[in-house]
Amino acid sequence: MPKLNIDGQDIEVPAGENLVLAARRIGVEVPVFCYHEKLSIAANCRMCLVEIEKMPKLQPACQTVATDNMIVKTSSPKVIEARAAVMEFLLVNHPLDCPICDKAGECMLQDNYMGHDGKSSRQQDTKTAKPRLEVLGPLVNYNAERCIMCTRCVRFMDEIPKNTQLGVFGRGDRNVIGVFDGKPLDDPYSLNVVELCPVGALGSLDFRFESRVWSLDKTNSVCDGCSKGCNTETHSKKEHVYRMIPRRNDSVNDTWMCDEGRLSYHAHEEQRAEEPLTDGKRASDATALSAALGVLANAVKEKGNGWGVFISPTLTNEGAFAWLSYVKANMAQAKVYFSGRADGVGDQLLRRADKNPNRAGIKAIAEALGIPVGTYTDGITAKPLRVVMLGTETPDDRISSIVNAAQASLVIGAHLTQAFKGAKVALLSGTVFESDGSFVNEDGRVQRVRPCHGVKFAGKSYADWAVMLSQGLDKAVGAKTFAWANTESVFADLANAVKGFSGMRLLGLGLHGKALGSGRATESPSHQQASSPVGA
Amino acid sequence: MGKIIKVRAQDAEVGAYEKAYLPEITKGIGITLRHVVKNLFGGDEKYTRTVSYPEEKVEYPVRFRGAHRLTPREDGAPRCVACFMCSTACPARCINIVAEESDDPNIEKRPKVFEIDELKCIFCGMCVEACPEDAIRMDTGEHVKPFTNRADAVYGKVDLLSMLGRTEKNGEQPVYRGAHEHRARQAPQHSPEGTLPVQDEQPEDAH
Amino acid sequence: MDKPAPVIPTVHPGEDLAPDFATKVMEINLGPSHPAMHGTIKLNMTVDGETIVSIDPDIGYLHRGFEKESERATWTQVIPYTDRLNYVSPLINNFGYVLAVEKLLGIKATRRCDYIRTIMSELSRLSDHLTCVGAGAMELGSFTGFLYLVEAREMIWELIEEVTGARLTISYARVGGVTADLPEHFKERCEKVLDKAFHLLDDFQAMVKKNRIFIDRMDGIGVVPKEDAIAWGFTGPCGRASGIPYDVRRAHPYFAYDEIDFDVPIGEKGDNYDRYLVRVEELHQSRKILQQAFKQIPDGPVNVQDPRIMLPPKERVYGSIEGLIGHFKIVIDGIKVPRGEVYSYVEGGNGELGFYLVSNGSGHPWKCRVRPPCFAIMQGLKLMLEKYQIADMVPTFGSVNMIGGECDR
Repeated sequence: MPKLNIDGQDIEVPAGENLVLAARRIGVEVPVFCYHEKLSIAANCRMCLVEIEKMPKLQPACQTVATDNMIVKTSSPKVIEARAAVMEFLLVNHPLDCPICDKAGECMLQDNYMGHDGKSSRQQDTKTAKPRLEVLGPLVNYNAERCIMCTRCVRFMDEIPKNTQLGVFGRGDRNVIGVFDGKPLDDPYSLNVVELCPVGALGSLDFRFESRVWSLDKTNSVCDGCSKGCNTETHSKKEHVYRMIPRRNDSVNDTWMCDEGRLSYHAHEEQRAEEPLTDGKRASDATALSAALGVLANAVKEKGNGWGVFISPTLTNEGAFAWLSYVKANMAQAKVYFSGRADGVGDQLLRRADKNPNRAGIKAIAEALGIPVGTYTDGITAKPLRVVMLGTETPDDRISSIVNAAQASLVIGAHLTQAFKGAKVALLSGTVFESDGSFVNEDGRVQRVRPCHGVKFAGKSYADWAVMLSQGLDKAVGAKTFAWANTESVFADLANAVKGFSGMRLLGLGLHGKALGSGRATESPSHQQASSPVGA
Repeated sequence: MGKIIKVRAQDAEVGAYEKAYLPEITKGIGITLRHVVKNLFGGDEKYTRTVSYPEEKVEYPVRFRGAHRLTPREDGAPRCVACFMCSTACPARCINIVAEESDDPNIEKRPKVFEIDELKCIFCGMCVEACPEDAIRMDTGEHVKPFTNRADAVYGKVDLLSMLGRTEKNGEQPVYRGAHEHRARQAPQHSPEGTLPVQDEQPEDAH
Repeated sequence: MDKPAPVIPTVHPGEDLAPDFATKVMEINLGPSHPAMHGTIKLNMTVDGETIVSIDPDIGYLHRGFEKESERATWTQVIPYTDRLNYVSPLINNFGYVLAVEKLLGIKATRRCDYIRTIMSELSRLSDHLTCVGAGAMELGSFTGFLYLVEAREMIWELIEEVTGARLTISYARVGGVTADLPEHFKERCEKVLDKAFHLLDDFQAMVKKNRIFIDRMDGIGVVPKEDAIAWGFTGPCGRASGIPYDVRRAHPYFAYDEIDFDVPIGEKGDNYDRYLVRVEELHQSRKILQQAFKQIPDGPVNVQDPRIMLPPKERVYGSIEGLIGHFKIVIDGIKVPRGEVYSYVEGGNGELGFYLVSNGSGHPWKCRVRPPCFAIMQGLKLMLEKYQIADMVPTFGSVNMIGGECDR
């Protein structure tokens, strides 16, 4: 463990750590452009130059490994001058694009200029002209004039998805980033380069010109696209969700996310059910209430005999716990099956074939409650005549047709699917953007899902555990069931009932979640950073 | 530097002269009569200035902040590139903008919706200060026109573009300068994914 | 000091003071909307006949949440809110606020800017005192005098409009400077206007100052003895009328006041007439300050040229990426003021106008508290009005110059 001195402070760091990370330990932020903690070192931007005693020239902190007895100065006059000089060079050919560039507000060039330069331009010559709107792939565009050639994007594609689709072409001030002949940037992780890019050179075509970033509200949550549960930051404003970007979690997704997950925010507003329905028709409150009562009262009367419950693994732990407890207490003879989204493509990196976020959680809860949950396969010929469907995601049409054909059916979901329209009673629940709760990913990590403030439908739909509560139906159909005041209390009961969750609190899950079975143990590894989507 | 003045010592005694009404009343009437005479016959030396509004109007000073206008390009499109500086700077949050892609690749971005709620506006001029494209100005020299319902006070893109600045009303050609003039050089290259034409010639105009 | 009126014993509601007259005290309330009220304020009065037995002012009708709004706004966006504090002398509020922010930043404005701020503050003070004195006289019946002073005020507002672009909602100050330099030949126009304005003021004085009616209603009414004035925290013309020789411009000079020679008027009795005399003398002193400031104003840059504090000049914004970035970051994030707190004060139209700012290092104020000078004076309103008659309330309240925007924020 080398011991060194940075800015007058002695610290000890793990062997092999570079000076940028070492300085971060004492709260000193060395400015960078090309350095990214999860990528290889390029040291081409020269912004992180620091002064090290006994070395005549300034050294790039990202490339210099901390050694014993090093004395580092990160804000000596030489360093400050060097940073201003590097900024000057980077800005020489940078176009006056801030008004039309989407990166404004989260641009490292802007931040580093204000923090480390502040001088006026001395430039007399014209700036280099380069291609300004290159469509590199179906989701990414490139503006060569803004590019500072840090090569973060090239290194990312090489090292993370290991799919070299980007390269540096040309020399000197004719340098551009580009794709190879006939091969567009269509990797399923292509949108990560947009966040990695410190400037506005690489842009997301999905987000282009949608909104300025400084007026977006940011919510820390988790993606519900597959069972990996990548940590996200959802950006929304008033009623719209504008984009989802990854949040750092070294135990789950580093700082990356797949494109499919990123774009899943569109599902929040697409094909949404806007009102509760009875038999496919809009229901006034009183009718929906009594109809739902009737359906559930039947279920309770028969203890669930002849009833099928299809539970989608997109439900939160709290929703699953609430419903499975209800089923156990009142419908013990019902048969419970998983529905959920069909399997998709998985890979070695982040995408998982199971496109449902919470199968592990629901399995754990069902096991603890002693309810066997099966998958509805061809081998099961019995078609339940009466159905409760929790979550409208289905892998195929079979479950929907069962719901539509059933004598009595209650569907709770967010999207206007066949099953929702065909149900006897259909009630609204919310998507992951309006839900407060938790998911368990396939690695057994319990992670918090947080609602975005004020997004569309929030207020019309309800948390999956609270749907019955909101309609006042719980009182009519089951004693104490569903009678929780808030999500924390549902989680508290869940933690008491299910062994893997014991000792946990919803509010204690924090930004990075907790592993099942870890109870109150703290688990953050040493470099865990607060979410910072741009930069190292 | 400077001293303390006792104001009561300065001709502020209350004595017999003051207690007698008439001397002061006569003096007062004399003053008002002088004003009357001068106002009637004084020419340029009048005490009060009466302007027969609306037939006569007082010219506002150059810096007067009146109704907003969006400045036009040569083809009549707004210079505005929907950068949101004005709506961010506005203390009253009265500017609502929605951006879209422009047909002209030189310009790239333009406003689809640009609305100013003149009822919320406090006419501080921070939007003009914040614009990097010289696209919004408050130099119309006019007030916001009277309206009879609130919806009429929300000026949209078309209303804002249709107003003229004072220079134009005087027949002069206005000069607009913004960051756009620096960006507008030649058309960028749009390439299908894969090929990368790189410029060989450098642009010739000054930065 | 003379105590002008006999002491009236404490009265309990319903108690009979003059049994043979079968009278009672009556509770009436004046305001909040009342033609004699300056701004919206409610005076709950308990009167015995014409004599005010007790008075309890209710303020807050113009409370608009200035301090809470400032927490949402950036440092620059607070400036239009400060216009609306003491709205008859908005420039002083503007400059007082940016002076406080500059203290937090640890920067000083340029010398030319200091002089410009001095000039505009004094013009604002002129308009404030002209309004107060004129309106006060109008309430006593001198509508003519009021209109003379309003004409004078109009001319000053036209000057202010030439410089700032608006008469009242000026938003002229910026942190580190002002929005624009004085226009060409401003000095000459200003001097012409001041000549005319003071000519009107002299005419007004001639009609009013020695007028028996005016004196009877102002002299000896609304007396605030010096010790009481100090105890209640009176500053400004009301404090000086009571004999407190405190003027922030003299005691803690700021802007260019350290290089300018002017006198500070004080009264002796602390009655309405003293307040009137002090204000008129301050008008003359402001003119003296203006004359000196115009003579001494240096050439040079107006604004501090630090891109981290001020928006860069437009040529740099349109012509260089550095200027454009600086411009964008200041508009988006606001000026990043280092953590800390400051209490900075200037001489407002009514007294010591203080700004207590707390910064948490970001572009938005953490707290922006205003010390309104007339709030302290409103506390002393009981002293000024109890034992006097209902009709005395009109000139007294007028001479206090309570500005609702400042008192209630």
